[in-house]
Amino acid sequence: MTGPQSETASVSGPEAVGSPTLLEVTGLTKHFPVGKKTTVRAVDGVDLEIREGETLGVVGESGCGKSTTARLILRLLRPTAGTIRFEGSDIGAAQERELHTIRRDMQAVFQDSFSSLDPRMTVAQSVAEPLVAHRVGNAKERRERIDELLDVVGLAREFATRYPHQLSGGQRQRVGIARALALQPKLVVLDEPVSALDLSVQAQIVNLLVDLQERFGLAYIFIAHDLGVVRQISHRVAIMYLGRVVETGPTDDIFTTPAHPYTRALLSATLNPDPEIERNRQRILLTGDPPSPMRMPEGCRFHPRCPRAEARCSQEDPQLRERGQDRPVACFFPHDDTFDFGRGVSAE
Amino acid sequence: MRPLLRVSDLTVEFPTREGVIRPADGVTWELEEGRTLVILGESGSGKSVSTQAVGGILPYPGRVVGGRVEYKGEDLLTNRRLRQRLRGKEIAMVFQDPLSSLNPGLRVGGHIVEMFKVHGNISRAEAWQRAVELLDLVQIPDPEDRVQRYPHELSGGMRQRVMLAIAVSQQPSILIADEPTTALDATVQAQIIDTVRDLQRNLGTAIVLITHDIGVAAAFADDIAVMYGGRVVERGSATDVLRRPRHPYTEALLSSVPHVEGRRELAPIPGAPPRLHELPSGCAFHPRCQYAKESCTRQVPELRPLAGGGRLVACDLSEQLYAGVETAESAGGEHT
Repeated sequence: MTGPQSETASVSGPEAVGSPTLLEVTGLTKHFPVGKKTTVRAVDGVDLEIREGETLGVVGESGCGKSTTARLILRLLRPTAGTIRFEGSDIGAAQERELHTIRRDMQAVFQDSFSSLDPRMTVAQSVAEPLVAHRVGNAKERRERIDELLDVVGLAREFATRYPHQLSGGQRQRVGIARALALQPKLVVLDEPVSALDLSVQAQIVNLLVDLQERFGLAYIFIAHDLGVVRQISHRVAIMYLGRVVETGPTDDIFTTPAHPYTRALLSATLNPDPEIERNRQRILLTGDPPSPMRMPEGCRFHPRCPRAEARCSQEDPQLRERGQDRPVACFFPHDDTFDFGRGVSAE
Repeated sequence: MRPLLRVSDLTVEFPTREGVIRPADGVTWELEEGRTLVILGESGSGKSVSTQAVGGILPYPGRVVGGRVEYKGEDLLTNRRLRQRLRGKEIAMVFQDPLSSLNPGLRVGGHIVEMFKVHGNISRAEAWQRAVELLDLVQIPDPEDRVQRYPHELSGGMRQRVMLAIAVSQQPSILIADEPTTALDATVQAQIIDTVRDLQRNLGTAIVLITHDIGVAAAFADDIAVMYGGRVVERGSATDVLRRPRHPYTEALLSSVPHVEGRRELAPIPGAPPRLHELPSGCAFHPRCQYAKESCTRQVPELRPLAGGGRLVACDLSEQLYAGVETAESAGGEHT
């Protein structure tokens, strides 16, 4: 093994997939009333598309609405407006009974495995719960399925009788994944699944998720703030800012020629593990903090912090528009040149 | 040259229901004037506990059972009065969560004025004026307004800047920062990193920074101490440690991190960091180490200088493992 700077060999990552659309989200909106007069526009017109067997990485900082979007897609929340088409049928307005059926195909894994597993249930009981809820198989078949699932996520059989507090963070997250896979879903929503894990354990879970995707043809919505992990795992990426998707496209394109000024700032803020590169970098430093979703700026919601903003940006709200080559961006003045991480600026 | 701060063989114990644990065991490092030492480790590595012991803020019931913490040659562990006098003035601290470190009923300026009341002898009006200047120094926009605000009126990034302003108000020679940017968003973290670098350039403060994030370590460190299972396993210049790791744990950690600049094969470290209640025998890393030999299970390796100097490594196999790696690296190859 060698240091990071010499790992130049390119690794074949997720292949670009030309599969049919599994989930299509249009104009998705969730406004939470706060008091009588104000609303928090947590999700404010989100458009997304996920294809079968593909990973969409959803990236953004706190308050951008990425987790609320996940909860809306899972229909843990009811949208204020917009459509969520899963395999063609609109689930945005679906009633509980319909949702029960749809949820077999759509499962979730959350960041905090400790609070998403019942502390009084053994691993086997937790993994069996979705099977019981959906009346899959008899007791014997379920036991076999649990053994199979534990095996699939790399947990030895003896874990079946343990309780969450007896497991490490990585092991608990494996249980969460086994549980999500129990009903053989088509889509798994992963909300920061590795953020709470130790660095040395993160890669185990990332690799496991990639293997499982190949093995079972799963589609993932992978929500994260760590851009390194997102690049590693995603076929496509959507960048969110203040309740909107501001840019989306194939992963490598987004990372090499980011078009939205916010995407550039976000990439520029990532840290390189090589101190020689890190110390000599120039960063795009944004001024100020993200504004509150309760007081959305007029025009483009990024314009008060945008290094490129012009008069038009404070008056008109740019929509996510296709520019050809599958690279929609919501910006009047998008970049079109290559981005250089080393210098944090456009490469001439 | 004598280091500003020298920590040697620092050992901390905590009694627990499952027995006494040692979150820090023989921790040794040095901090030189104006430089930044990053202590890098995962959960349970002892990075926070050892530094709390250095700052004299070890939470109950933890206690220091051995070692020395020398500030300019004087041991702070035995000389409590000296430590009392230095704390906040010569040695200042900043933590991950500024909201819990700030008094919610006190204006931003009030926190800084308090520092001058304890340590300085300037008038109240002068202290408020200094507070405005300090907020400006940590790049808080509109400092005349912000100095009058309460902590809850500020964003997370602004609060962390306020903490920095309080910490540097008495011009300390040492700033200890425990995960100061971990709770912040990436773009805000980048701003704070920039501010801290400016502060260090302008004030010449030496910094001890604790982090689990290799990127943060690379951004700040002159020197790095990597901790695992309560011990320092590797210490050296940032460039040496992060570019040419010489401890199998550091090496494995670096190959398990995904890079934003391109996809690559991730080599995860098997297993999980050890629980302090059941530390493995011998080298604490041996059950996860790809190179481990039988001898590694028996003896705890000492932190020893490598031939060629400049680096300390606690691995008895290191010299053998990494012999000739330099040339292999420059050729872009891999050693086995």
